[in-house]
Amino acid sequence: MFETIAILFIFFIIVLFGFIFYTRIQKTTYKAEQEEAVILRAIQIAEKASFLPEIQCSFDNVPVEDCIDKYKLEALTPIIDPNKIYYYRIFGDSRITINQTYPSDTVSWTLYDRPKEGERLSTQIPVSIYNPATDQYTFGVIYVEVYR
Amino acid sequence: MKKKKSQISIQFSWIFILIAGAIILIFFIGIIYKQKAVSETRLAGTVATDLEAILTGARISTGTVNVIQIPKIEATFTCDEMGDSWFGVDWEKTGIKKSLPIEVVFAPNLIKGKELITWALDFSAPFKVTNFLYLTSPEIRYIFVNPDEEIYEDFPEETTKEEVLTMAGISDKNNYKVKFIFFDQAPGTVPAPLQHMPNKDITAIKITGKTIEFFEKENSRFKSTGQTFYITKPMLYAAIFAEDKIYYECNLKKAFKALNIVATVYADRETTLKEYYENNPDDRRAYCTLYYYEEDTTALKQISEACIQDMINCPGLSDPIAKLEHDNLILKEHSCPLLY
Repeated sequence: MFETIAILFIFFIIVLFGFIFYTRIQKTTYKAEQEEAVILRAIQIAEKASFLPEIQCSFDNVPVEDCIDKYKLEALTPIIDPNKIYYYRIFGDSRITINQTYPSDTVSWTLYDRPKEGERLSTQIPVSIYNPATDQYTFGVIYVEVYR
Repeated sequence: MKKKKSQISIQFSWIFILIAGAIILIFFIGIIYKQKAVSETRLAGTVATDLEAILTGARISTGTVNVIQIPKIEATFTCDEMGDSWFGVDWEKTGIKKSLPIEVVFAPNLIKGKELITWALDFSAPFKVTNFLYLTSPEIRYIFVNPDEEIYEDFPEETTKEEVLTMAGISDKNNYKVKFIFFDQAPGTVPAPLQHMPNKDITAIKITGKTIEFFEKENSRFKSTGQTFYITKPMLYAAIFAEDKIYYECNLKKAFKALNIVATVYADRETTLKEYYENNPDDRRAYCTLYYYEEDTTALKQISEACIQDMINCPGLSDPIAKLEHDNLILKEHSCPLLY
């Protein structure tokens, strides 16, 4: 009988080791999944920013990809703050800036800024910036920084 | 005496073995059940996250219909009078849900099966405001009764749709949900082969002009649950996919909120354009300042704001929308920068 108890005792010790090992593996897998979710969210925010109807160029209601209307951008920037709850639901904790790079790189717009402590993931999307009054294009980049 | 002692000892050993064996079995069965629950919750969480990404992508690619293979799950979609909008994956079992505070998604309250059909259309009024995303399953049946051909033809082929002239001859095809779409005729009675289905699984809409009336099954008849309106074709399709009037109007409110913001942007843009040409009289297009009528974009902005407060004001959007379409045409004819 004591032999049986000893065997059972050792058996449960082995099961315990197995359980600890399994839990450690699960933790690592969970961390990897969390990382993937953060990257996915960053891509989603970048996609939403570049396809936002409020700033996207359109001609006779046909949207143009990778193009931002300068006047729409300037009109939207002051509207973001009074509607910050609405835009927080789109962009979350992130910072979105549009920088003109050519012909001059001195023009910049901060579309959305809601920073948070911690690491951030950065995405850059090249775009054209269209001036409807002069019918001219310039080059620019959308910087999307998503905070973890 | 010794023989008796050893016999008792053997019996006790067996009892001890049985008890120990039972404890070990219970222990491992307990772990299995716990692990099963954890795995189901994890799967639901993963599916919910992936579904969210699919919804984001599908919203961007308008005009296309996608059939997506999904694990055999039950997705619940809700949008109520308080504006609480979310979707859940096996929600009752796992509690996993994701909020949809601004995404305009029209879907039945329950989608189940191995395939998810997504379809996105632009909502323009008259400029693009947002995308409407329609979701359904091939296991949901859509019966168009004496339909407008254009509306029927444009409805995705990937869905389980059928066109009938009358309600006679409709059979049960073992779908878990059936939606009837009537054009200018009263719904009448529920076809006999479908009367056994739960009341909540058979719904209908009746389209008359720009009015939509929602119905739900009440035993053998259709009972009206309220009337609403539509302005554009995407809104009409929204009523077909939406579970009921509350869900439809809840999502429309999100669309009108977006409309209010976009209208404000366009109003400011128009003002900036007009001011640019007024301040640059030597510009080759300085004459364009004559064709910017700011009152129309302002009217759209104001009515959309009133519409968010009370849906009864929403049909009033048709007028400024039509005027802006006309204004844009005038600008096009004069080679001026368009409103949208």
